[in-house]
Amino acid sequence: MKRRAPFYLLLACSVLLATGCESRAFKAERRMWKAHKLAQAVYKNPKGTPPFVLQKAVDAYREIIKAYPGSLFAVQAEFSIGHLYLVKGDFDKARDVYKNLTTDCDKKGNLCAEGYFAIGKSYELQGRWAEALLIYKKIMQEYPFSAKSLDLPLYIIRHYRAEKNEMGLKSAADQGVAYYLGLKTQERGQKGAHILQSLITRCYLESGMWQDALDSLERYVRDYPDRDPQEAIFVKALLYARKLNDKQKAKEELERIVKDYPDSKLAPQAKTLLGRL
Amino acid sequence: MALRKLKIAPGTLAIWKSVISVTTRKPAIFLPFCFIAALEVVVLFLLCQSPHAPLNIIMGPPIRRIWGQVYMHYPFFYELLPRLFYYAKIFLGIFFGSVTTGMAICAVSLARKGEPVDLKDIFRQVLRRYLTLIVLTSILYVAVHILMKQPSQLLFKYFRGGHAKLLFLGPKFWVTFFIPVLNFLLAVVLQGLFVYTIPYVVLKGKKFIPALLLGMRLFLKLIPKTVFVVAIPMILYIPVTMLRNNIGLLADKSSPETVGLILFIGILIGTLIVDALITVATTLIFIEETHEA
Repeated sequence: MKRRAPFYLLLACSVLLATGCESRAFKAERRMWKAHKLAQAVYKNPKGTPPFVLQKAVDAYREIIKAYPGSLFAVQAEFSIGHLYLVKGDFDKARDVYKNLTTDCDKKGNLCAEGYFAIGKSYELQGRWAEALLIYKKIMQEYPFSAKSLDLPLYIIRHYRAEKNEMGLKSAADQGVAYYLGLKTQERGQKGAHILQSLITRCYLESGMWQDALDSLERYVRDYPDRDPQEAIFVKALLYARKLNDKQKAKEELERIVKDYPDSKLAPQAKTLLGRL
Repeated sequence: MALRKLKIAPGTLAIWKSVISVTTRKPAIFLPFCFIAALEVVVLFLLCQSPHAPLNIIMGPPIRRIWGQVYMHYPFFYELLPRLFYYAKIFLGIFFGSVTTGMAICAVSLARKGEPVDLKDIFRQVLRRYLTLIVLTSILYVAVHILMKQPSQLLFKYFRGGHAKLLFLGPKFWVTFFIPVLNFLLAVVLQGLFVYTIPYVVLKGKKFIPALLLGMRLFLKLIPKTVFVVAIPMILYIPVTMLRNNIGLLADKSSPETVGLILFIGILIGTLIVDALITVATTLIFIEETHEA
């Protein structure tokens, strides 16, 4: 046994060496998980949560920000702190936290758009729509090709639709379409022009402007024949059938898919719908 | 209505007395199981380090390819850990467990005869039949893996097909009660079916197919005794099964690292206790029935 002791020691050392060290990212993810668990207590019962529970969660996130400054974990932690104050109804404190996310935008890039959106959302939840709208328009202006800015026109349309504000809805739709058309003219927008055209269509669909939606879809089919135009034709058929009650036109669109795109995934569906109409 | 007295096969309780007697006389019988358990613990430990350097160089690409990048991150990695360990156990069981089981069987036979138990000699003796043992163990694992999945898959298919009830009972009964009970019984029967095969290989020197057939014939001759002897230690594994079935909930309530702890408990109870007791007890039955002693 004594002779084998060096062998067992070597084996144990080899196993330990093979395990290496836990990566920094993994440690950070563990800390985030623990902080999220603490935050869950607040989310489950925001009004009934005592202040010390909230503070515990906030402190856990602040420790992550301190330990991993400038990292994605720090950004997530800032957002989480803001969300905690938001659910507790402390909108001013939430905004103070979100403002930290809107500094150094040249380094953070589109993350700043997310930070501004969170500020806008806090105004919206507080019932201050006008201020929220100003922030949303700022995002659309300053971060034109970010994921947030591309979604915001539709977001604003949905807001007016939920409020049943017809005038606001029409105005938002027109502004959204103008915004996407403006992006299309830019060099960067030309690469994703088909996506912008789809977004224009969605503006019309979300605001109930069916004829304009049909025109936009037809334009997509005409201008982007390599970008699955059969999907646009299918949507046209559904619009004719369900919104405009024009079964004849719906049939024509479905027959167009079956005839011009027989191998597409939508062809069998189109045939089924033709049978039903 | 009076309950019928449960009939226990003759000699079943006596077997456990023999098990205690043999193992207390020669504790070296447990060493092969200690070895395989230690190996499983080391493998579990190494698997837990898969997301970290340097092991992530080897484990990272297959995990990302098969299950996705997310499983290299906390806490999702711990959702994958039981599955990784399951596959590792199959590998260890086939290539190492077959040898340690064979060694334990030989050790029991020698202890029963009152002869000295020299594990080095036993190891060499078992190694001569390594290929046969690997094939037999592979068949057992494949049979268990495939057959035990069928009832639950059939039931899920049935209920997903839109049926609300089966035999007037809803899916909750079938999934939470019937399937676990059926899995337990299937495990007992499948283990019993193959349990005498390895003794025929290492003690009687039989080749692969004769050992398989003779082992199954012996099981069919001793069904009640074998089932009882296999089932009783497996009852000890039920709490581990219940822990494993609720592993997600436990991990969420405490921490994801609890998954590793539950798997470790499974090794202690499954390998060190359940497997050891089943192997020793069935070997003693084999010796008694085939007049090996």
